[in-house]
Amino acid sequence: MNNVIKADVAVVGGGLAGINAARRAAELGARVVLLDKARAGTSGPSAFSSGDILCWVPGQDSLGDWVQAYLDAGEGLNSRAWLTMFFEGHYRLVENLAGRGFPFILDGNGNFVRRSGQGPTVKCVLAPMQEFQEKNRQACASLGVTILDRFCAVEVLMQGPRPVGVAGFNLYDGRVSAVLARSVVISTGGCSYRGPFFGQDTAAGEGLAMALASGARLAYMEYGNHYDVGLASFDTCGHSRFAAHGGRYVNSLGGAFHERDETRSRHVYGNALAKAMVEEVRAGKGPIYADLSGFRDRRLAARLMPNLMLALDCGGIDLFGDHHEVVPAFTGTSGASSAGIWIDPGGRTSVAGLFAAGDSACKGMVTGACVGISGISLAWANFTGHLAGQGAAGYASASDGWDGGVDLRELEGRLLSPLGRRAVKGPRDILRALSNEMARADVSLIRSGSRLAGTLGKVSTWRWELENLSGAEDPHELMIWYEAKSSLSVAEATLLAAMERRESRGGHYREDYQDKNPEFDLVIAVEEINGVKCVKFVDEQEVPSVGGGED
Amino acid sequence: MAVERIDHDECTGCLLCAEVCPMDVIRPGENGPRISYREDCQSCYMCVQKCPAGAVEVSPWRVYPLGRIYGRFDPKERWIPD
Repeated sequence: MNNVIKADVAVVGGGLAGINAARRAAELGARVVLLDKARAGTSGPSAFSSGDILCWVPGQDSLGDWVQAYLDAGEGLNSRAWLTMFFEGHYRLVENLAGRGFPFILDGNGNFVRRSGQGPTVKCVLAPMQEFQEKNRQACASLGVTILDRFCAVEVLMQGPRPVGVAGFNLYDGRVSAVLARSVVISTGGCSYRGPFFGQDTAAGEGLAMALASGARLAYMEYGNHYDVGLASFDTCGHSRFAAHGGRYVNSLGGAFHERDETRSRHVYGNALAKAMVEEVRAGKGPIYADLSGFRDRRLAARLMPNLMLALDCGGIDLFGDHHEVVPAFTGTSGASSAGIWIDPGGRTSVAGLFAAGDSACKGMVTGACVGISGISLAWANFTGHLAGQGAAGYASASDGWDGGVDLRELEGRLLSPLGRRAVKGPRDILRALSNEMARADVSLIRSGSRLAGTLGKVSTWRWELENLSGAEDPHELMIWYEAKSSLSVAEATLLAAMERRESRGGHYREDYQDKNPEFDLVIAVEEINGVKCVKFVDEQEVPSVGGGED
Repeated sequence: MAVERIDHDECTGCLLCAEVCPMDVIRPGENGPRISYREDCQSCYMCVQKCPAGAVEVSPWRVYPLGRIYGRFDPKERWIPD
């Protein structure tokens, strides 16, 4: 591989959003390089998801009813115009993809099979995501997209305020490369901390940290606190989806608790269930068990989640017959929260030439304060990936390429500096400590100003330790060092925003400010100025100007 | 919760397991695939699914603790001051 590669568009991250962006940009004639630290297509949470893709369908659903239900659930922090654009544009996109042979589950008449879920009004179309992603990867390859697997992207190369590419290193040999590009799409890492539930382990906030360091604005970060439900003793999550289809959770006394009215009536879904679990445990009725004996659609689950079924078979685990202990499974953004890089209706970030998509792009304009809507992450990745690819290709065709060189020696010195440094503390230990801290219900689910400040203090200590006491023995560990660095940056942004929202609204609950306060009918943004994170309130109600989902 | 072993008698050396591993746990080695970073395995079973010879063995059980998810709300925990 050459050390300097030139392209029109560089896409960082090969989950659903990134591959869609790469494919769309290539369809529009751009020369595209797609970068993934693992393997584009099987990387990120998309390939392991349950395949529920939230989709409004004309003729079956009322657009007005859907938009109103989501506005109610968003509690004043989302936008009617965005919702309308998202529902209509995403349906067009799904129809186009199905027409081009992408695998969706269809009934005998060739119509989409649709499944309900948790949320204000939820109907999803279904797709086996591994098959879907393999087809997407093949489509990219046949369009001439250069796919660089095992490339750990570290930073957006900037020329003043302008992004001119992406720098990183190869995971196998540690060789540093620069991909010089006219526009860059960020679609990697979500707002996550390498959580311990499979599919989540790759996400470590890299995209958000890279964007922030390039001057881009993050938004809705206090909502980067999504909880699903996971099994305590082995590594799966997504069980709240089972609960929407006949499964249930019981406490140690065998009593169901999540069906109580006060839990269901709140617009927070995954987080409401997690909070109900915490309250049971707090009342001495833990642990909590899953009872999936009433779960319907087992055959469909096997089609959509082959890896989960393989894990159950190989482990001799009877998920549907036995009662297994479950715990709140903190996923950060993955699975439906609002946090991420601010984007406008063209997929543009606040930095010209830099685009964002998927769990990296904030989805608060459609979800607002609501956390945990079934199928929203895949729908958002599908839609914004397409949007960002289109935008990035358009931007690249209208702008001049960077004709300056790149100082590879300086880049190597900087990017590889932790390599070989004598380490008192391993980056993996720091990342795991952070991941455990952010997953705590008393930090991310039931918050208080003093506890948030306490965690912020720990984050600051870990950052100092990472910079001064930690290093990496080889390129693999160097990747983990950068994952820790990114995760710490994202944690800091999340904690600062959560401290600033001195009220409770939707998925953000403060013990010390338990009521909603109309003074906070505003979006919180986080920016980095001279390496220091700054929090500010912005008015987010703007009107979309472009469509999306077109061929 | 990790890839346990690769049976090199069964392994065909196709290296699909290394190619698809999302966590860079399995790498191509001189004599076929090599488990290089077991501690980072997420037990996603991609390697098992792709292996044409059934040579990869993965355990789904979690080997490291999840941490204190319930924090100060767990009655079994010592109370932690704010």
